[in-house]
Amino acid sequence: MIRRYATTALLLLIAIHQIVLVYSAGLTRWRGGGFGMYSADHPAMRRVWVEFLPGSDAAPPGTAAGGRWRLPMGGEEYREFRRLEWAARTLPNHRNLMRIGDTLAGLPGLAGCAGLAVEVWGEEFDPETTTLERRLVDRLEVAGRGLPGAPCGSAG
Amino acid sequence: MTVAPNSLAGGAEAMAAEVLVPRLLVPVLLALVINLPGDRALVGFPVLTLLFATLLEPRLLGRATYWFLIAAALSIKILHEPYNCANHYYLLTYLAASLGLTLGAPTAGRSEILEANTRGLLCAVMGLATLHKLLSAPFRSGAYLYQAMLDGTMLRSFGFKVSQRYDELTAANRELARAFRDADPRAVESVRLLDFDPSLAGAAMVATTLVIGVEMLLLVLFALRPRARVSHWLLLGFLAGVFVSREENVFLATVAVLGVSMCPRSRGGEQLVYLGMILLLLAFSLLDILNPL
Repeated sequence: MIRRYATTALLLLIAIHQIVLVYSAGLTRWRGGGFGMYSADHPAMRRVWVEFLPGSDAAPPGTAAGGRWRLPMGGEEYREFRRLEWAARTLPNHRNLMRIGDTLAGLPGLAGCAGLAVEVWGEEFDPETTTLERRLVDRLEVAGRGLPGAPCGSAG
Repeated sequence: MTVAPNSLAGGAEAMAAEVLVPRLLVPVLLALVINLPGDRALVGFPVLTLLFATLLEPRLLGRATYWFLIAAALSIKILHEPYNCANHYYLLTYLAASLGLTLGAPTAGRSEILEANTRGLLCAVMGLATLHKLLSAPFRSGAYLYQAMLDGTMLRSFGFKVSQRYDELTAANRELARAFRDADPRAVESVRLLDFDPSLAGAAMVATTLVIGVEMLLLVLFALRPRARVSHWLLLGFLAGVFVSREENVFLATVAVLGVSMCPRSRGGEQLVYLGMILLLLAFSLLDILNPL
């Protein structure tokens, strides 16, 4: 019995876990062993944006102060973000957004950062008008490290 | 003079599934490894080492331990990036583990054990693919496939032309979509794609119904009649249909191996088509590497 059905049972257990994450954490249907490819938008269609919250006079190395940036930003110092960014596209949960926020908040150039928001954006296609429209998949606010009393990595 | 189809398949008529499937899986795994996008060392090195070991000792292919090691090597990537791992890694891992379970059993019952494993895997894959499509509102409404037709990501492989300017117009739509995705979402809220053929909306709805119907039918047929001729021809048709519309050669080759494992030895024609399909898929997989887009 085990020899005949063990692999199928394992596949189904992992697939159930994947479906739960699709609905609870925004996991893309394409990944995670649930065999949902070609049923919804691919993570390559998603983008991760970082918004520096009002009061920030700091900026990541090589960028202007304040404002908004799309990850991954250029430059060797952002190599780590490519991996983090892709992880957030596929599974935009609290943990993955927090890792981006914490890593950014820890950069030397962001010592005076009041806080930042990490956003994952997707899209929806309206077949009536053949229009692509924005869809905010998830957003997390992270307090900066530079402000006195601001707890590092607290979620808003 | 007539030539039996099986003799063309290299004596497949004399080969039990548990002997044929490991041999077919070797080139599929090789295609997987050489197609790896970035992390070759993580998965590529252990899998390649195991594959090269069979050159020195071909009998390894008949050992349960060998296939459990292959499954373990593949699962390194799954364990490393469980939510960023493509589904064919998972499927190949299950198939390798199935071979381990099969080859560890007494010889007499091996074919039945392998068939039970691959039948379960194929039915689960088709069932889950159908479930996801039914649960996904954009797919159900036809919007997903309509968008894929407008940006050319669905009908690209063999240059299906719904318009003489199809390539040019779909390229323009892809560029519009790319610029939209890269723009600040607070500044650019929407973009309209070129609607160059009004009939595509209807075609997308037909394709949506067809895809869900075929995948559901495959689930039912392989659950009830895994050895029937109709089941195998439908699976072969499905593989051919996906092949011309999407570049998923390693995944399709793995599904074809699942099909071979359930195809009775008496069905030489179907076996031969499966083998040809696997060869074609692997050849295209190699071409993808030589001619990246």
